[in-house]
Amino acid sequence: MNEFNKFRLNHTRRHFLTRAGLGVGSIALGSLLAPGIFGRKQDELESLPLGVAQFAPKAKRVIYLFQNGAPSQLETFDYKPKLNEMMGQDLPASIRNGQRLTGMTANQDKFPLVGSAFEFKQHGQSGAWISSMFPHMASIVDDICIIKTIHTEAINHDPALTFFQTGAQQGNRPSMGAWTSYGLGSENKNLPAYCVLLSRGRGNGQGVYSKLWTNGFLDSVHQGVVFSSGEDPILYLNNPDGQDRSSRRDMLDQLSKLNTMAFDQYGDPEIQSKIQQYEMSYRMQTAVPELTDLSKEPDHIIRMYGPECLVPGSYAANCLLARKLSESGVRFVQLYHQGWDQHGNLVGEMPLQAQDVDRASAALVKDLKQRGLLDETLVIWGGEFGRTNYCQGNLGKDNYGRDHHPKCFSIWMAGGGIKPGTVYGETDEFGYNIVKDPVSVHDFHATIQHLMGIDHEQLTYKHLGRRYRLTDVAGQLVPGIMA
Amino acid sequence: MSRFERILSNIVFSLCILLLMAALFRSQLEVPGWLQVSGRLHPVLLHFPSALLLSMMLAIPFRGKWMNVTGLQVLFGRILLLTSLVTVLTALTGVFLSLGDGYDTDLLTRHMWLGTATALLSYVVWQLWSSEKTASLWLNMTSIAGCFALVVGSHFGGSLTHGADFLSFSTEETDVPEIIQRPPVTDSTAIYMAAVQPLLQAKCYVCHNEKKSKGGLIMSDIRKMLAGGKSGAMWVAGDPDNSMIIERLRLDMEDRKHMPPKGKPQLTIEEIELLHRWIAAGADLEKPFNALSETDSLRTLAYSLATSATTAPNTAKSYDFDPANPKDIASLNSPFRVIYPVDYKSPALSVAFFVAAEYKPNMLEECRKIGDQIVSLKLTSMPAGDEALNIITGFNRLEVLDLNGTGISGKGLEKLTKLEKLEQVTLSNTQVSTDQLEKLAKATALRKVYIWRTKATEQDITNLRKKFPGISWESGYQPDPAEQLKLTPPLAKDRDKLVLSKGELFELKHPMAGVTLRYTTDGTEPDSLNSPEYKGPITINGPTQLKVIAVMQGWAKSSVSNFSLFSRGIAPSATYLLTQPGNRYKALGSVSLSDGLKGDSRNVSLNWLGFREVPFIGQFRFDGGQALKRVTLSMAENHGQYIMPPTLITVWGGEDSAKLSIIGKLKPDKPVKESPSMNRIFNVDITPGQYKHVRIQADPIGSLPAWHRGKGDKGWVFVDEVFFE
Repeated sequence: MNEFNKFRLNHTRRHFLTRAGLGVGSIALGSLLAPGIFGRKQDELESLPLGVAQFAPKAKRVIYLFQNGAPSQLETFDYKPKLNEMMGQDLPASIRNGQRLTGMTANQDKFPLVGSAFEFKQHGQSGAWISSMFPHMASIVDDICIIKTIHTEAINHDPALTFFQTGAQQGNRPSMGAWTSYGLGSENKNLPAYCVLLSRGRGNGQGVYSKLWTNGFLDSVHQGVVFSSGEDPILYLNNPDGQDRSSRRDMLDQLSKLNTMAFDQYGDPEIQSKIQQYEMSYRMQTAVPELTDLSKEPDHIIRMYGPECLVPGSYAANCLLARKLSESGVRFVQLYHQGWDQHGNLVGEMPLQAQDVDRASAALVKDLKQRGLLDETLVIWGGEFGRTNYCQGNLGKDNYGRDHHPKCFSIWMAGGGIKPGTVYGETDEFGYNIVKDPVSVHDFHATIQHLMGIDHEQLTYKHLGRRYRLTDVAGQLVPGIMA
Repeated sequence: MSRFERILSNIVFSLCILLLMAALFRSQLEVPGWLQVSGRLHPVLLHFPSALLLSMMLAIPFRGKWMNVTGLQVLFGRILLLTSLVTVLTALTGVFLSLGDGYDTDLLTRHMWLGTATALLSYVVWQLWSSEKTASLWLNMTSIAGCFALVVGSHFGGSLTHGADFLSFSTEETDVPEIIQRPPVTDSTAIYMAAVQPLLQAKCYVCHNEKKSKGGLIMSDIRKMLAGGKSGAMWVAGDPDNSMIIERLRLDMEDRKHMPPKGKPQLTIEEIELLHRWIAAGADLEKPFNALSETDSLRTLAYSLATSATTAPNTAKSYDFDPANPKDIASLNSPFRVIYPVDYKSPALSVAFFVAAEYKPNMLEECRKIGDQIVSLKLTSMPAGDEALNIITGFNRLEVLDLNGTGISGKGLEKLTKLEKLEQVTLSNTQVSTDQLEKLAKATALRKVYIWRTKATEQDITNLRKKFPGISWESGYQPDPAEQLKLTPPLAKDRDKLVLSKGELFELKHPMAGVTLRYTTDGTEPDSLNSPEYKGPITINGPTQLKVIAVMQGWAKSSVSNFSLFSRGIAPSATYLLTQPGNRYKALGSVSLSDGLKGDSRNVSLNWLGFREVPFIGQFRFDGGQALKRVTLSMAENHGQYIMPPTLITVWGGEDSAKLSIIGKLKPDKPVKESPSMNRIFNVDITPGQYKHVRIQADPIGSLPAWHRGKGDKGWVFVDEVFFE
């Protein structure tokens, strides 16, 4: 290499530093224009505000009428005359297609098909088929959207229920209501954002457990509050004899000071939750009596919901209470009505169950409607899975039972952004497989959150090193059911 | 190199780095407004490099010996440096300009990178020029590369502003979007033509047409579209979830393969759903609407998309007025007056009042501070009177007003007509009268009024509907007087008080005021006329099957409530279980047999002792002996849970527990069909006498009858109490 070239390549240190300085300066200037390129970009998810909708919601509140035990779709909304034609014949293997069965019927050597013992008729503008056991639900058919193709992964009650409520089968995640409370907060700060009401029908029942309305890893203020089924829906709400409201106030003020000291010392956020909960209980002392007072409900409310609505702890009473809670701004009211597990004696038990829920469920929708609340309240009616199209055990002369069936079942939704008067999805003529428009439990969750103004992919909570959401890593919106 | 040149050179160098950064991170740039405006200098500046740079860089490879004159060399160098500066600025302003919307991204990317290359190359050329050795091969090559970048880059720039093919000779109008005159959508129109094709045309043709076929895919021609692109066919008919088009549409926006690419108009959820269903239904190009049933989800969705004015319906209202002062909102917010925005970005506010006992009229008045932002107001059940309407008329953006159950009489309701945005008023459970409603109906935007339980009669409502058909008048549920509802059955005042000690009374209750309860104690069904009327707590004498009904005028009588009542009777000194109950039904062991707590046959509770594998055998000791004549077993029958009456009850008695003799037997009737669950009472009359020890055995059924679904299985017996007389 010639000397001149060598000299030219020999940049001086000063030269190098000048250039490097200029380069770095420019990069710094450039980084002002694109703030996101250095370091971790500020997480958009984490910066989303909590306690307020991400976009304008269609539904402000939810009332979930959970039919615990899994009512048969074949005796409610999924009309399959083919099963009546093929009564007693074996379920073709091509239809079952190796589907896993529960321990209760897996060892059966025959799977005799059985059609509904109850008549079906078409109703409303959508021409939806509804069984004769549910005349009142049939009367609101133009207000509801029947989904015939919801399906789940679980085949036993507890995991299936847990899946519906928390988006996972194991029971370690927050439930839907807790997520809603976490994402949207409480509208009425004088009542819990998430209330749970329990009732029991006359059919074969399955248990419900507090894990279904758990806050999971979320703050415990988001936990569902179970109302007692006795005369006093909320126990220990009244001041004890000899204590008036002002001395209760004094006590809470002092207690709150002590708790604040404890919080300063230990920093446990649960202490703050406790303070908030005490304050809310105090306000509940005035808010709850207004709610549970049925004397202001006119006679025709009793005629509408049926006289059972006066019996505390009945499904009808819970529906009425649910309306009052929802009207008072409770975000999520979760009902469970037990007794839908008809492994046997379906023909005997199901009409009793239907009697319990039919009138009151329909009344709730009508009642919300006449108060202008249906547009902003989402009502959901359904169980945790469906029931088999074949008989469990031996097919009786005029009675039968059905085992658990996860691959398709029917629920209905109404109000808050749901397309009224529609039937969504199709199952095959055996009522065993989905033919068109399947809706998974995750899709169902995603859609509900969407209606409430929450993007299901964005409402997350970091726990054990990763982010969780109600739909976890799944869930597609179901536009076909949205208005 | 003069000081001037050095400074200028350094400036150009810095700008080059800045330009490179801006180009690399264009998508993340957040440029202040004034800088973005500087982008408008781009079209002015660009003429300098186009002419100057081109001529200079072209001159370099063809320069002659005359260039070796020092003065000329320096002059050329300085002009080159200045040109380089302008070039960099041009490119930089170009990047800023591109941040505004409305540019074709592909073309823009190419133009930007070629422009950046031109700018950087111009600087390199200057560097090489000024480093004395003007004859180097490098200098020539960079100059030529710079020229190339400049020419091609400018061409793309021209296409961006004037449209592609501006420089072509064709005088024909090209690329004018094809407007197909679509016939109106009828039932016999093909779904593809009515809904799918317009959607593809609107969102996909831009990049997938005859002229520009990204990924080798041409969608504007049906045959070519079906042939697919480089990656294969667009869909698998009948299997949308394995179809590439659905996959690409559903990919994350950040994914490179997401379609349409980021920045282009995206498909709405409904549109993706439409394609999904259309493919699921076989992706048929010809199938008309009427080939599907009326309720078919593809048909309904396609129809609504085909007939809606826009392909992307967005029903959510957006508000662009000024937000309220956050301090005002915070100071007004309380548990009893909740103020929250419609969504977190919206200036529109919803206000809701809670807890009637805490409501004060001035709480509404104070809301005037945020009155311009309130779009929805909820006063349900608040004791607000007509004076509230005066305040509400000041909330000029109000859309939804909820006055259900308030104290308003309707006087002054017509003032609400001033609210031009008012769409919905709920007045259920108020004293509003029809003429006031008629005045309210004049509100221009009003669409829905809820008047359940107001003064308006059915006739009034019919008239209102006729007179104001644009408004939906919701009148709500009216009971049918002909419908006879069944009363609920009477209840025990205390469910745990079914076993009564001497002197204790049994009390009934019913939730409905005004009902009459009638009862029997002899096992017969009570009737609504002749059976004795329950007037107050009743006494019993020994085990009693109490049957009660509720009756009332205008209602059907209730079903019968059955209460198995017991007198506590003679308590044994000690109780033993000789057989072990089944795992889950142990209750509290032998104690449970005489604790006075009854189980519920329907919801099998913890008070029951259950036996299946072995019979129930209990032994009872009476210290000093006891005169007995009857033994009563309280048991359950619940067929669903396999709990059946015992097949045989045997009672032994005697002085010595080792030598007992049979003193009584009962063979209950076998159930012959499935029946509702119930509590059963089995009375076993025993040989009267003095007994020190009594042993009772109840045998569960060994094989369930043929009518039971568990045919052939073992049944259970359930016992909760044993009584002695």
